[in-house]
Amino acid sequence: MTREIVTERGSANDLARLERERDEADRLYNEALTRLDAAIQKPSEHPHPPPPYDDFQVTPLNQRWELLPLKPDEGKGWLARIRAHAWAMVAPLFERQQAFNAALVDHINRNVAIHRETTRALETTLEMLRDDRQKRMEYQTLLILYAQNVTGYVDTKDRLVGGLMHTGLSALTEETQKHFASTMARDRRYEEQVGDVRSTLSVMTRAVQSMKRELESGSPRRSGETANAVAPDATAAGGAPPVALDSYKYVGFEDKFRGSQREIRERLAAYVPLFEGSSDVLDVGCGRGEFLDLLRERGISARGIDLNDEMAAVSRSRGLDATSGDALSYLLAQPDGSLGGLFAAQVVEHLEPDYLMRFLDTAYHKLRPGSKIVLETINPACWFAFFSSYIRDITHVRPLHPDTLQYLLTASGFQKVTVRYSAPFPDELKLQTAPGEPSSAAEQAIHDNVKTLNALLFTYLDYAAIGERL
Amino acid sequence: MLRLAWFTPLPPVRSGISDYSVELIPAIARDYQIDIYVDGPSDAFTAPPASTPVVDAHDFVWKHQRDPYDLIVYQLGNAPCHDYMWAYLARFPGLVVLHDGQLHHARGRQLLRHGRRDEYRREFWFNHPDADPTVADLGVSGLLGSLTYFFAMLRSVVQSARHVLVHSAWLRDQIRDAYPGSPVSAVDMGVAACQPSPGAAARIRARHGLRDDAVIFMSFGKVTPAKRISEVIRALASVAERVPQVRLMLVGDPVEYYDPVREASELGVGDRVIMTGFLPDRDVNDYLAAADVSLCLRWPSSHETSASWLRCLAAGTPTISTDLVHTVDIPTLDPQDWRVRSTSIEQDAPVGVSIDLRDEIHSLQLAMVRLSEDARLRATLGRSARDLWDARFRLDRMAQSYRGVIDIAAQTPVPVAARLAALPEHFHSTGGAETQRILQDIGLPPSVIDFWNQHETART
Repeated sequence: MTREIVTERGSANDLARLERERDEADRLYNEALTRLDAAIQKPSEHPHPPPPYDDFQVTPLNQRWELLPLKPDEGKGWLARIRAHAWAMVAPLFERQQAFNAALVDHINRNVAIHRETTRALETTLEMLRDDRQKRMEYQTLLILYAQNVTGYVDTKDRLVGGLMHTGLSALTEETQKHFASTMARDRRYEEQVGDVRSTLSVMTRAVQSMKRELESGSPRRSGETANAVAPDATAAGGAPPVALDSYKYVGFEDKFRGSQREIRERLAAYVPLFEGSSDVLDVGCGRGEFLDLLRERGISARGIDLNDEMAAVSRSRGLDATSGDALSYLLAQPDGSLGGLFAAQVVEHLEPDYLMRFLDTAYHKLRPGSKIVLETINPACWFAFFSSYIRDITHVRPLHPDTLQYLLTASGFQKVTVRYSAPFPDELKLQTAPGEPSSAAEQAIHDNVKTLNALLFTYLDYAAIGERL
Repeated sequence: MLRLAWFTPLPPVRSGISDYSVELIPAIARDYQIDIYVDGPSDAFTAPPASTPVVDAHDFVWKHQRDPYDLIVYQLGNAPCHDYMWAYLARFPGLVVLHDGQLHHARGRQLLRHGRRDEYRREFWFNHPDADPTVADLGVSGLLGSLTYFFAMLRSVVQSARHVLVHSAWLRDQIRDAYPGSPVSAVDMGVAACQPSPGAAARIRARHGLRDDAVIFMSFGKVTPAKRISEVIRALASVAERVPQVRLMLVGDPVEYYDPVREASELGVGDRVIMTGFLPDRDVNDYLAAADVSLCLRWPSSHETSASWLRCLAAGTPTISTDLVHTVDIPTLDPQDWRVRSTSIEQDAPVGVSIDLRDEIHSLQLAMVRLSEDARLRATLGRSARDLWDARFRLDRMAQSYRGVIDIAAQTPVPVAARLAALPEHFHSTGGAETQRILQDIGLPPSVIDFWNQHETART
C-alpha cells in the first residue's frame, strides 16, 4: 500500500489538512514574533538638560543701573548758573539712560526666577522622558516574553485536553476490550458446546434414521461388520454387500477411542508433506475427513471413501469429496494410473489377507508413477499397542507386523518401501531400572530384563509403511 | 538425525521462554542435533542440561551457510529478549513457535525506538491492509495504547514461516482464519512435574510466620498490574473481616512502578500481603507446595499460554484465572453461580475458578471467600488440576507433539519466493548497503564485499 492510497481516505485527508494548517500557523506566529523582537526599542543617548541660568551680573546690574547723582545745588554764582544750564542740557539724556537701565534691570530681575524655573522644568521633563522610555522598553520586553510564553500556555492546554482525551479513550478502550474479551470467551464456549450438541444430535438422528430404515425394510442389520472402508469378504466390485456395524455406533466409537477430530488431525498432519505437490490423492477409510481437510489446506486435491456412510456424510457436510462404499470396488472402478497418491490410516488391520493382497495389487495399478502409498496401522510389535489399542476395536481382523506390511508392499510392486514409527510410548511410563550402574550380576540381569521388556512392551504405538510406485 | 538451529533466550534472562527451552530441549535432544542461538556471547548464558551447544546468533549466518540446518526454530514472543530473532525470520524461514497472539508490542518497540517510523508504517499496512492507515500514525505517535492489542501484526511472521506452532487451539484457528492455507499447528504446552523438597509447605509457612490455618493465595511471576494484583487486593480488603485467615503472597520480581504493599496498606490490609522477591525455580516448587490457591490472573492478554498456570496444575493447586478465550477448553467454575464453565456439554471436572473480566472484583470476592472457607472444594479442584496436567500438559507429551511438528516443518518447503517478496522491503535488507558505507568510511573499496562473496561461493 502506498502513501498516495492512504491520503485518498477521508480521515487521512483531514489529518493532513490539520497538519498543514498547524504548520502554517506555526510559521506565521514565529515570523510575527521575530518581527516584534526586532522592533523592540534599543537604548540610545539621552539629550542633556540646558546649563543652569547665568545670574553672575544680576547683582552688579542692580547696583550700577542708577546714573544720575543728586540734582546740583542751585547756587548763585556764574559757575552755578553754568552748572545748572549744563545740567539742564544733559539731564534729560541721563534720565532716559537711567530709565532704560532701570527698566532693563527690572526686566532682568523679573526673569531671573523664570529662567531658573525653566531650567528646572527642562531637567524634570527630561527625567520624566527618560523614565517613560525605560518603562516602555520594559513593557516591550514583557510583551515579547508574553508572546513567547503564550505558546507554552496554549500548548499546555492542548496537551491537557489531549491527555484527558487519551487517558479517557484508553480507559474506555480497556473497558470495551474487557467486555470484548469476556464476550469472546463466552462465544467460543458456546460455539464449542453447540458443536458438541450438534455432534450428539447428529449421532442420535442417524440412529433414528437407521432404526427407521430397518423397521421399514423389516430386515435389521447384523452387527460385527468391518468398520472403516472395506468389506472383508468383497472379492470384486459386484461382491456381496458388506454387513455393517451400525454406522452411528462406529462414529461414537471413533469419538471415544480414536480421539477427537482435532487430535486425529494433529496426528495425521505428519503425513501431509509426503503428498506435497501431488494431486488426486485417495484417502481410503477417510472417516470424518480429517486428512482430506489437511490436504485441502495444502492445496492438494483429494477424495475419500469410507464404508461407513455416516462417516462419509460427516465429511461431505464439511464440503469434502467423500463417498461411501467398498474401497476395493472403488479402486477397481478407477482408470489405471489415475491416482496421485493413496493414504489409509488405521484401515489395513480391518482387512482379510486375501482382500488386502488384492487391494495392494489394485492400488499399484491405479497409482501414477512417482506417487506414494502410505498405510498407517497399529504397531502390534509393541505389546502395549496390541493389548491396549488393537484388541479394543472389535472390527479389527488381523494385526500386521511392520515387516509383514513392508514385505506385502514390496511384493505388490512398490519400491523405496520404508517404515515410519510414530506415537512413541512415554519414557517415564516405561519400566524403570534402579538409578546408577548395576553393582551385581543380579542387578545387571534385572537391568537387562527391564530393557528387554521395555523393547517389547513399550515402543511405538503406530507405524506407517510407505512405498512408491516408480 | 535432523540438525536444528534453535533461537531462544536462555537463563540468566528471566523469561518464561528461557525456562521453557531449558525444559524442552533436553526432552527432544536425543532425536535431533540442536545448536542454540542466543543474543550475545555464548558464555553469558546457561545451557540446558543436554550438552547442547550454545552459540552467539552473530555466528549463525556463516555456520548455516557452511553447513545448512534442516530446520531453524524461532521461539518468538514480545519480550525484548526475542528482538534479535527478527533479523533472521524472513531471510531464514523456519518453524516459528509463537508464544504471544500478537507481536505489535515487539515490532513497535524495535522500529520506533530507532526512529524507523516509515518502516513501522509500511509493516503495519502490510499486516493490516484493511485497517485505516491512520492507525499507523497513532502507533507512531504512541497514542494507540491498549488498542495495540487489536492489531496483532502477525502476517509478516506467518507468511515467512515454514510452519507455525502455537500453544492454543483458539490461536491456531485465528491464524488459519486470518491467513488461510498457512501451515500452523497447535500443541498443548507441557511442564515438568512439580517436585517440591520434603516438608516444603510447613517450612515456607514457618519462614513467613504463617499459622497452619492461614489460607495462602499465591501469585507467581513478576509483580505487575497485569497480574491483577490491585484487583485482588481490593477484593481482599472488602472481604477481610469475613476471611481473617487469608494471606496474599506474591512470589516474583517486584517492579519499580508498582507497590502492592503500599496499596494494601492504604486499604488496611497491608499486613495480609507478603512479597518474596525473585526466587529460583527450585524454590518456586516449594512455594507451590505451600499455596492453598494459586492466582493465575492476567489482563491485558496477548493470548499467551501461561507456563506458570500449568505448573500450578501440575502441583495440584486450585487456581483462580482470568476467563479468556484461548483457555476456554480448560473447565473452571464461575464464582457468580458456581456452575462449570466448559466447552463440552458434559460436565468436565473443573480445575479452578475463572473470573469474568466484566465482574472482576466481585467475582474475586466470591472466589476468595468460598475457596478460603471450603477446604473440600480446594482439594477437589486440586486433584482435577493435577489430572488435567497429567492428561494434557505433561512435558513429555509436549515433546512428543513437538517432534511431529518439527518433522512436518522440516519437510515443508520454504515459502515460495512471491510470498517472501511481498514482505515490506526492510525485511529483505542484508545490511550490504550499510557495510559498503562502513568500508568507504575506513577507506576500503566496496568491491571487497563482491570479492568476499565470490570467494565464499566458490569455497562452499
